[in-house]
Amino acid sequence: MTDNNTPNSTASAENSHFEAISALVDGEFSNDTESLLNIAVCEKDCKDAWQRYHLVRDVLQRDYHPALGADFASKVSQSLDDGFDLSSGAGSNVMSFVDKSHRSKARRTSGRKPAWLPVAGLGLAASVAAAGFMAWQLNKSQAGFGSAPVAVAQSVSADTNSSSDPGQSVQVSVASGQGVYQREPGTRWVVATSSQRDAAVEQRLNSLLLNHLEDSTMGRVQGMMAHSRVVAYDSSGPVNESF
Amino acid sequence: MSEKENDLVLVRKVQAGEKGAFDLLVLKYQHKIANLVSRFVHDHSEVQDVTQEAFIKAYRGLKNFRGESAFYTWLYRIAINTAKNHLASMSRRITDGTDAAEAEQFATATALHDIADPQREMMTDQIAEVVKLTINTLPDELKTAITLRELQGMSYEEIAEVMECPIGTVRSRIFRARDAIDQKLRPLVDETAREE
Repeated sequence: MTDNNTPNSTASAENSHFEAISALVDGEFSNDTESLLNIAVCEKDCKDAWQRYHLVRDVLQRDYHPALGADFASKVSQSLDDGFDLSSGAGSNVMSFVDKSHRSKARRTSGRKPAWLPVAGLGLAASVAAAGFMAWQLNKSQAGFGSAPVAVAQSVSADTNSSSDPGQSVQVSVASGQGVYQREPGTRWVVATSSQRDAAVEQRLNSLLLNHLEDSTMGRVQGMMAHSRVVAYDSSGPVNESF
Repeated sequence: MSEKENDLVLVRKVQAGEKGAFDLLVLKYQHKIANLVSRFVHDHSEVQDVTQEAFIKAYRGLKNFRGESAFYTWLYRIAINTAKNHLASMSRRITDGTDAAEAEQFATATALHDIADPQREMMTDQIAEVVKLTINTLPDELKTAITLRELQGMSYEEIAEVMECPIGTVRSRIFRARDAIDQKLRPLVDETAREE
């Protein structure tokens, strides 16, 4: 009969726990994985074992990178708790020379930032929207002539995922006549009635909207321009322009 | 349950508000991501920051992760974009600067980092050497099991077939080999961390 409280049995139980973690690291734990993951999340010993076995793997597979300290994960966790500001970019721990010089330069110039800049941005966005509207009006009158080039003017919100704004519509002139394109709460545009469907227009609107979303987020466009786009579209040729 | 499925379980836990599960994902992928980032960002002092930023972006984006792709491919994509954005913002900062002395100082600082890199490379090589030596001192059955698993990427079932033993034995051998390597590795890694 064995006594479960002896040091040997405790060590053996611990080993069997760690052996299970080792199998879990390999994705070969076949029993109750979820429970074991719960233990690994909550218990420090198990979490440490998880870290050590992955470290062994990283070293063996030459993935180990000495730039990371042993406490890297807790730094990430701490940053998440502190509400890391993504817009500040990298550099929460190490302030590089460039960061320092950039920040001191920013401090020197921040007092000289012209106050009219935001107003000018708003004005520019308003003129762009007005120009778009005029272009649309012009092409609406031209659409009656049938063979005239089709132009589409749109002004859309960058936040197309907003569920509070479903079914926003924009009128467009297409080769087959006047149509209403409805914006779905995503990035899809569909024509209101199937008889007015113009696959080319639909496809271009989709691609332009997607490109705009990617450009404005990836390019970190500042001011009102991030949220607006004016598109000129010519169905008679492959060229389409936007600004 | 495969590694991919384990990742998905952890992701679901994070999505359900269990932040501790994200720690396990960080611990699992931190060095792989740092390695990936270092292919773009050569300054080692910035690799940690960019890696950290990538994980934070991943955490914030996890609510939109639907599991259509593997978690690690999604994470790698975020890391690559973060590294590229970092490079772009660095080059903007340098070209924005009008002060020639600042640019010169930056160039010197970068050069110094480049000189410091071989030392770190040496440390990594040293760690790899110790691990290799440790593996060589292991009993044959442990050495074979860990080599087939970590270097050949074989499953426990395949290893069991090769070694003509039960899967449970394979599991135990791999664990014992890992434990032995860990005993030798830990002081070295701690030393590297102190030097950082």
